[in-house]
Amino acid sequence: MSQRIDRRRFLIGSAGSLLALPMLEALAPRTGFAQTAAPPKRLVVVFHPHGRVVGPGSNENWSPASATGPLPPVGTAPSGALAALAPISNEIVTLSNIDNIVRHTSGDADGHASPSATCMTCVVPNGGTARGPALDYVAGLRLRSSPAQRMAIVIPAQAAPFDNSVTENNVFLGPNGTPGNYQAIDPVQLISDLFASVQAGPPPPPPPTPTLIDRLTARRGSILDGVAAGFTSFRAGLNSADQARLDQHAQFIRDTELRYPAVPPTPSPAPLSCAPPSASSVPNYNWPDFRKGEHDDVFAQTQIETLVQALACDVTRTASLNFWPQYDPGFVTEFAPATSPYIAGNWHASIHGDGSPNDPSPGSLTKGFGFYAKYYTKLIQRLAAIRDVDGSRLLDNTLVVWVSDLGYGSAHYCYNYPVVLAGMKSAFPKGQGRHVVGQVNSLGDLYAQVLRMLGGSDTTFGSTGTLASAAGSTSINFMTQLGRPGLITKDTPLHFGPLDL
Amino acid sequence: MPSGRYVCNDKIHPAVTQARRLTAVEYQNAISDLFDGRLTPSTNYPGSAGKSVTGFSTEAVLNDIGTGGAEQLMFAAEDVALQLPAALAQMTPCATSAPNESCVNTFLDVYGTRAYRRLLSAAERTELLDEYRAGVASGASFTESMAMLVDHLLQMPQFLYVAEGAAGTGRPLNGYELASRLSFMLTDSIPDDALLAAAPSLTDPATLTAQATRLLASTKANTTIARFFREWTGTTQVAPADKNQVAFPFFDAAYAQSMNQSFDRFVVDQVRSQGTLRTLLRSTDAFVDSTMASFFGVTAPPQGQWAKVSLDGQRYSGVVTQPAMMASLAHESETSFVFRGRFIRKHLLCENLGTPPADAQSIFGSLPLPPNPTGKDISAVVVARPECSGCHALMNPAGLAFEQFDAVGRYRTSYSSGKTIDPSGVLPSVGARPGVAAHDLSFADQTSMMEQLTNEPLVADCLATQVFRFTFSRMETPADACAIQAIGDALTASGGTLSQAIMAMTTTDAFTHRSDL
Repeated sequence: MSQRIDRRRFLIGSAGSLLALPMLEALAPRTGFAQTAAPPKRLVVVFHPHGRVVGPGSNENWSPASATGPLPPVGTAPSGALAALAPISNEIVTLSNIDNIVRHTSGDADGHASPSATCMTCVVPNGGTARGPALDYVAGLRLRSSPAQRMAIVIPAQAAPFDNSVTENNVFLGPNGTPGNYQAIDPVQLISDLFASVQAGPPPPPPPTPTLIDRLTARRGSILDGVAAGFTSFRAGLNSADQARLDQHAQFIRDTELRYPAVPPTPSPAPLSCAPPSASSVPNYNWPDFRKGEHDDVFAQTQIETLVQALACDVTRTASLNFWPQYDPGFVTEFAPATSPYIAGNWHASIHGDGSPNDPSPGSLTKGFGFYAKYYTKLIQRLAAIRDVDGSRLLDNTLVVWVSDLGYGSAHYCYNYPVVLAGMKSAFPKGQGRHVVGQVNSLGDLYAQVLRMLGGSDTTFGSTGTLASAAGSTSINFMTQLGRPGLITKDTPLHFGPLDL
Repeated sequence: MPSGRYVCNDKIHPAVTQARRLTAVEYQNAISDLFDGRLTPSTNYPGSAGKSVTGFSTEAVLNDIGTGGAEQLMFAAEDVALQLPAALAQMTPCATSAPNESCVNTFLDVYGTRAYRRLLSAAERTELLDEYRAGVASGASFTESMAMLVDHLLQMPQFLYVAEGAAGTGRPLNGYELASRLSFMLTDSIPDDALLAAAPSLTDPATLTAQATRLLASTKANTTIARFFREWTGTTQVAPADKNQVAFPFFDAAYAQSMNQSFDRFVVDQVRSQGTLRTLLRSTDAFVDSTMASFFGVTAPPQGQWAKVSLDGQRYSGVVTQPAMMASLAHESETSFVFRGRFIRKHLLCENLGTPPADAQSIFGSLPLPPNPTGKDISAVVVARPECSGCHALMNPAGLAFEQFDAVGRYRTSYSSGKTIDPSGVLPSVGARPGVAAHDLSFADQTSMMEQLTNEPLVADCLATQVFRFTFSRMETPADACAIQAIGDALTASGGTLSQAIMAMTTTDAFTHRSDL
């Protein structure tokens, strides 16, 4: 029953409409986490600045491939920039050809303000100022169990100095560009804020211990695969007639194998779902000295655990991990601390290839980008290791969307955004472990599809129509050079349709 | 071929063999032997399908898996693997004392070697170890992980297939290949530990013969001996469902079981007791328990025991008149002179009869028969049809000789209609060989027919051919003549016995060498 109510609430409409929501919320059971029979759906947004960092051009290291197809197997780097995703390549879908179309309704000359104002809202901005709610806000309203639950949280992922002003964080926004759900940057303060009233209730019932027949059954696809490999090696020593006989057998194995999942059994998730972190769990905590970039590694891991536990403890069902510092992340974990060019230099200026002493080389930029990829992987792995209320992985009920403010940071290009999706495997009809190079789609298309994957029926997100109709003006000549070459005109639609997922 | 004999000492005469999947019988035996009887074979293992050309169940094509076969093999492996946890401690004591990879290797040293019928290669051992490791990595216990390894092991082609490495124009088999050949030929199973231990020396003829002798003497060989004679003669495991319960109300499961055992005991005794071709076809021996004693009308042994008795030589003649064979070569209620005659021509004389026309049954149904026809009445009508006479003129007289054995193998002298059975006849065109013209055999009854057939050289040649087909799971070709000749020589030598003929097979080039051509 609760699932039906959740779905109806989701069908209310897009863009955060609250019509009739109170009534439905009143109908919704106020269920404690441990009492919930079916796990709730959740959304995590991961955000980093400057897009693909490198490119566009031959040195662009982000795209796993130039056409749609499977990603390399687990353990193999999908691409230079995404090398850190190798351990989770079977859990992700990477997307090319996603553009920020609505950004071109703005004549704001600032290369960052307009993209930031639109990359999560997809709403026509007022110059460089956002006017719409961001994806996490819209989804958060729908996903939360009741108004008493936090609708969404945005957690900073890097300790390098930044403040929480709208100017610096013009991405995760509420209605009409109001401040979104940014949380305290102090990790201890954040833990206190989020978990003060949370008690680790009784753990969900443990999943039944798999019996031997469960284990044998679960590995049918993989054992058939192994047996087929055995046939291949054994046949090598036989004559051609005998090889043909074995080949026929192997083909029957292949036919059978298709009826069984080929994945090995999932390792047992951690035994406890909700385990609120404590302030003492933050290592080497010494605020405000902790804010320095050389602590980014510890900081990011702490924040990821806090985010994951916020979901596991049902503090919220929508959380974002915000890699925001534009100007001075040191990426000391990607380089030996004394050798990182971005301690003395400037990450932002390096990406643009200007200023000094900077290192704009694609190799160094890609290496720095690896910081984001590394912690994205850690986030996914942590979500996979936590048990949900039904014994499944937290990741199985959580859609993770990784986006950026730009397509290519080098010149503020707003096309070909680097997008990675993960989690909620059941919402991917064509499976995961894929790279998708579809038709051109907008970020609005992507977010509408995200909402559909979470149970909605949205076909658009944010502003609709064409650039001209949405802007209320046929004058859209500002910054069109930052769009996909040849695409941006007054008649360019803001939506193109579903993605190839 | 001077004097009708092949020259065989001019070169090595290897035989062609095909990779073949284990039959259901071999699988049952293999699982039992592999795990010392501690694990029970699965009934999910897919059996044979199709019609055998040789009559033997080991033909490669019969045992090719079809759609669903791979899945059945998987289920069968799981069925066995599921039993492992309860038996592992007994099988491999270190599973209790030191459950680690070293213990897995200890397990593979014994059970992997048995399953693959040879020492595991390093890659094969690693592959199996990886299955164990994957189990551990998934959170499974040591015992469960070992079961996963066994699940994998039992689906591997090295276990499922009797296959030998490519040989080109010919090569001698290595010791392990010889061990497999010997073991499957004589015991329908994987080599036992003694044979595996001797495998490196099996290329030595004396060692090979010693192991063959040992295996043939073992009780494990009994079921294989019985299978040879059953499949050669077309003798099935008769069951009550095979017979009309109104006509034969006494033919219940216990009765059928006694009849089946009687047949098996007779043929095994023929091999074990220095039986010859003559005794095989002319012996009056029978094996009886109380049920079969009543069947034959002889004195019963103590309850629950079996005894060898001598029957009336005017009625009974060797394996052919064993009740199980006569019952198998019959219909539900009536005899079949066609089935019985076909055995004589096709499987005792090794004649190629061809296949009946597609509409044979409808032709037969339309034949005008007299009231209460005798077998000879029916045969006469059939043979009168030109499209039928080609084969039936050859088969029917031989089959009609056995009309005195009803559909469950009981001796009789008249039909239920009261008409007297006339078992006499003339078997036409027998004995044609190179340089020897065919001739007719006139006989008064089946015993006189069998006596004359026993003396026919072609019968010895044919039995030798059947041993070859049984061993190699295929029809013979001209290239196999030397092997068949050697078996036939052993069979027809003065004092030559059935067991010597079987042993002769194992010393031929065909057995010790193989070719792909």
